[in-house]
Amino acid sequence: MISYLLKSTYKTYHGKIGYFCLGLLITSSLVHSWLLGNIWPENIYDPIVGFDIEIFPHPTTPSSSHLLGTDPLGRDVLSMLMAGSRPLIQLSVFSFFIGIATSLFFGTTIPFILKRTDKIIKEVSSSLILISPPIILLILGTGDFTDKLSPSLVGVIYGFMSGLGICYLVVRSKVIEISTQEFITASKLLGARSFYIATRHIMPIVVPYSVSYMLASTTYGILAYGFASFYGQVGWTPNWGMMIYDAITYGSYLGGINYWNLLPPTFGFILCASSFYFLSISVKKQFGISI
Amino acid sequence: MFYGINILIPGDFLTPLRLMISQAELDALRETLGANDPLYQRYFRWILGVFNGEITTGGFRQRSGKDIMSTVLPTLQILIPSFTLAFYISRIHSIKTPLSKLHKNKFFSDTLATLFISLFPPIVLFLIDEKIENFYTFLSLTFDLEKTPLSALTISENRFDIILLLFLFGTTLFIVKSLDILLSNKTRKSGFGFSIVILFYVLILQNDILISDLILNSKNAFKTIGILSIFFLGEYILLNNVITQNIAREPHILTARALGYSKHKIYNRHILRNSFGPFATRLTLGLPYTIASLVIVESTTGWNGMGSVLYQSIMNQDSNAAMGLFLLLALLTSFLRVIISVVQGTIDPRVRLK
Repeated sequence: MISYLLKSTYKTYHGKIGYFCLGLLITSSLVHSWLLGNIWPENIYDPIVGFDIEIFPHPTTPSSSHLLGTDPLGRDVLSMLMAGSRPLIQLSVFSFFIGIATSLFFGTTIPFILKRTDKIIKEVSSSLILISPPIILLILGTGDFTDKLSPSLVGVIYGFMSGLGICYLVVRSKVIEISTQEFITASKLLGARSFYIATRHIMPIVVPYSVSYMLASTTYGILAYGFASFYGQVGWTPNWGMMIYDAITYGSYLGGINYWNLLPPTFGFILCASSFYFLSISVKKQFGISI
Repeated sequence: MFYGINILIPGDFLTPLRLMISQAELDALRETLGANDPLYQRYFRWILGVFNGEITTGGFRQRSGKDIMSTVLPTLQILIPSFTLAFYISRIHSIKTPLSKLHKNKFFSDTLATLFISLFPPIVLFLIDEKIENFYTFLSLTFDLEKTPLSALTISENRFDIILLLFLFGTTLFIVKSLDILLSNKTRKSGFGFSIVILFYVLILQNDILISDLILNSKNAFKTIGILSIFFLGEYILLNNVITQNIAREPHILTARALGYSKHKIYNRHILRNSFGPFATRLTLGLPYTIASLVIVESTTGWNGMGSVLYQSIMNQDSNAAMGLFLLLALLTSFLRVIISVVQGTIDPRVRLK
């Protein structure tokens, strides 16, 4: 099913762009680790504490030693841009897979097999809809949590909440619709177990719904995390939100905005958020999902 | 559930006092006010308080229930115009597309919409801030607008907020309907007249001091509406594209085209009406994210609505205020869901029959 999903989404323009953007981000994150270990001296190119003492004053415009220039604190912008993709990729990948696993497992098995439990879970999901997952993400980014929670752990929590919230309800409604169809009755008559029917016959049909919703939901997670990082809530991790904050705040102190400081993280956010949304559109288009 | 979320917020309602008094005094106060009581006791006290009309009970408070309630109108002031603006603008592309191409993929508009969704709100503010500031400076200089303290006005704060809401809604409706006329879109013109009536009531029937204040107060509101609309616009364009594409492929549209119905008749009577069902469903499902975007956008522009106050409460570890706001946001979400369902039932007879 997964390979079919990958192949079919790749057939659309949206899917191609989405995979390209995602690939670019993952590659830049990996390349950054390699560059920092092999070519770039850490004291100059570290995305958090790096400082080039040979150049003064900072920020500087793009040059051969700093391809995207330096920020007001003397750090290399290219290095920060490449390193900033890692926490967002971790968060989005974890939230996406956890969300899919949660919504598919609970959304397929519970409404079909455990109908009484479904009534309770449905109510829990409805309450989760009233509490927005991105807001929970902001809460998790405050106070004592900042140092304890890594982006991947935040992604797990976000994925679980999204998966058990809207995604569960969407998958559930589709499962209820499918469970009345003839082929399900036929498999029951042939003696198939409920769990077998749920996982082998129903789950493959609802996978695209879960995937498209989780991809769209991940986009909001990225923006919420970006917002938290913009206000310095995510601790000492390299992130684009802080880069934008520094560019706007220090830029205005220094008598103008440094566009080479502002544009790369903006572009990074667009690339990261749109990659997931493009993939979501692609899944929706390929599988005729209109809601 | 809300109480559970409240536990997640670090600290308790006494935490903000830690900078003013010693730890020993804080512990004593915590003991006296029952902050160390078992969870079920604190929960019971809170529920009792909610039923008594006080949603932020718990001894020391940074914000009272009244403060929290006063954030509802500012939120509606930006939410309703943003929705109106985004909804109408998102339709323009579909209206302008020839019927024969409506069922095809719209790559350019999809890409543009995704770009809108991915735009980071502080960047949008950065882009529009200076332009709006310049425009308002021009307005102030041209019309001699001066800000009067709200206390000097003869009307209550609530009434002022309602008039501001009408002004913002009237202005956005006027903008989108004017856009419809400029682009010669053959859509209903009743909205244009309605916006004129609202603006007439606000700008002609109110006194000059109030109008001056309204316009000056609307500066930050329009910044917030601008950012929020861009956020919504992306999603609505995509939604409109998918829905109209699916409906345009249906046999009754082909029949209408074969019978020679005009484009605007097919669009307004058959496509637009049928699109409301899936649109409303998606809107209902997306409400949590709408609320989340409120928090992000309001905090970015400093608009004093539920979103930014919630963010400040979380940051200041004012857990009681945050819990009250969570409750209000949940009530707002439920209210919006009911409204959407009622409107859906009114427009689509199939929903009523079910």
